[in-house]
Amino acid sequence: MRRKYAGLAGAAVLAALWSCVASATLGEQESSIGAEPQLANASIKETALGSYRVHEILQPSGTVIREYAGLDGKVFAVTWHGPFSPNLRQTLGSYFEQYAAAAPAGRQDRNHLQVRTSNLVVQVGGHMRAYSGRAYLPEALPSGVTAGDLE
Amino acid sequence: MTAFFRRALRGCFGLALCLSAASCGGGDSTISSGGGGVSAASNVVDVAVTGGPSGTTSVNVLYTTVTVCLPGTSTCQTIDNIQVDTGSYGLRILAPVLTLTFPVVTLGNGSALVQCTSFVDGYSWGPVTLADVKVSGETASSVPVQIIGDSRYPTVPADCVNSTMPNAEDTVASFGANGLIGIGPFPQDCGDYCASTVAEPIIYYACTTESNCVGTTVPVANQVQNPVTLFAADNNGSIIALPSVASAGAATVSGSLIFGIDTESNNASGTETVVPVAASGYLTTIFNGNTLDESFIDSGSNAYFFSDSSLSNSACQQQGFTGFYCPATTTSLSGEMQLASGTSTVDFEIGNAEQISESFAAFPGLGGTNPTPNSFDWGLPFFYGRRVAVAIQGYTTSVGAGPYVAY
Repeated sequence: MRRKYAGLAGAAVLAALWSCVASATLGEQESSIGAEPQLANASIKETALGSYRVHEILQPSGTVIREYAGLDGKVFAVTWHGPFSPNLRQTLGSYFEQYAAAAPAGRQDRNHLQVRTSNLVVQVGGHMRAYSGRAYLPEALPSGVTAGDLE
Repeated sequence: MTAFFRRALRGCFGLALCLSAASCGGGDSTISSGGGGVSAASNVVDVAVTGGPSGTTSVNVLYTTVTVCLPGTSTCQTIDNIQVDTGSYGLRILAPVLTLTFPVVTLGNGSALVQCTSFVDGYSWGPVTLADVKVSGETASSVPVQIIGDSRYPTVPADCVNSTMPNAEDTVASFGANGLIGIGPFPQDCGDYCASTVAEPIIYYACTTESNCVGTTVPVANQVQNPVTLFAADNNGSIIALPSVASAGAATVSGSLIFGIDTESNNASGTETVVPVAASGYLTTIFNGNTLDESFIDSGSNAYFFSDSSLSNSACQQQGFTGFYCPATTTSLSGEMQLASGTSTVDFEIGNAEQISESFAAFPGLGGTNPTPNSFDWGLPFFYGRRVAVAIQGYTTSVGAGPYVAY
């Protein structure tokens, strides 16, 4: 299924705080993506895969963001591939502070970064004009779903 | 761009670590085979793998020297310890090392152009300024150059801070270099997209005051430019030539950065292997039977970054070495580069990161895990013992059209 979302001005004030991109937010309900005004220029494709659904959001920049939601509607993973990474505070939502606090102390690196805790995994890599990454909640993965399924 | 293993070393050895290779001796292992076998010429500049600026301790980071001048004048400053990066585009200089004040690019409405450059581990904020850039005998006039940490624009917008890991990389210590010269296979750091659309997260800002900044579109010509494309000649790409380095490493390594491909007698293409780079910026590597289509060859990464189950029990254990490989014995591996037709095998080795001599700035066996599953990052160790050419998008050479990487 492919459809276009029209701009929804109602949430614009909140969204402007983050100057948002068309993006999904970890840990929130999948329906949250429909409330984001910045989706005006993004296209969304939804695919049902038994125990979860994938919303694929194509941003104007060419970056593809995939939102993985369980049957309860909770987003348990977000992945991205393209010239620009999404705004991570928006993508990680309430998990952003945990991510920022868990930055690895040893290997600091402009091209690769991994944060891995019991309830949050964030893996980002790439170089200028070419990035990919994924963030997921390992404790929230549906039965039978592994990190390798999050493409 | 860069992997900052230096920080790992600093975290591990603290103040006991020699701050420069020279002060630690090791002269016998300094490798300087005639600048990678290249004679001096007007399109050649020396490059070296060293410990970096005073107070930093880099491993496998390549530096050069760049002269920047106020546009149209002979008022210039020469800056050393500029990192050479084929994984980014454009010249960026840390404000604290500058003695000159470069004019900020102004947009049509009179506002100033300021940039948020996001890396996966932090961000660099500062104005886009104009400078004449001189490297070797090459000159590019009025080049848009980012000045990072410029006191004229002290307030970083929230969108910039929130776009990535909230670490400011705006000092020489946090950046690991006095600046960065991005000479990868594209002409600008954004391109057509930023000319037509305000990128999200915002890359370019229009500032009406030192702190009142909003996202803006930017004509391509005003974006931070790969300076190579603005040279009068020798502007279709560049070649990094470095000597090979023994498995144990070396205190320093000296080589050459040659501008142009097939434009002079010293930069002719021959029978090298040409690896196409997609419009996405990636090339494809086949490793352990997996096709990794988000791979890249990057002088700004300080190691081979890849995932390999055979090394899963070889993770470094010492604090500060997290994410690097520490096999008990040096391990020989190989991958395949996907070419336009067929593949080409690349052999490499992975050594023990915790056993790098403290006096060495170069270690060819440095490897680390790659958090992105479809990617193999061929960092600076790949460049040792090779001439690696980077041809820029929109330009051609005798062996093909950019973007490509050849070796």
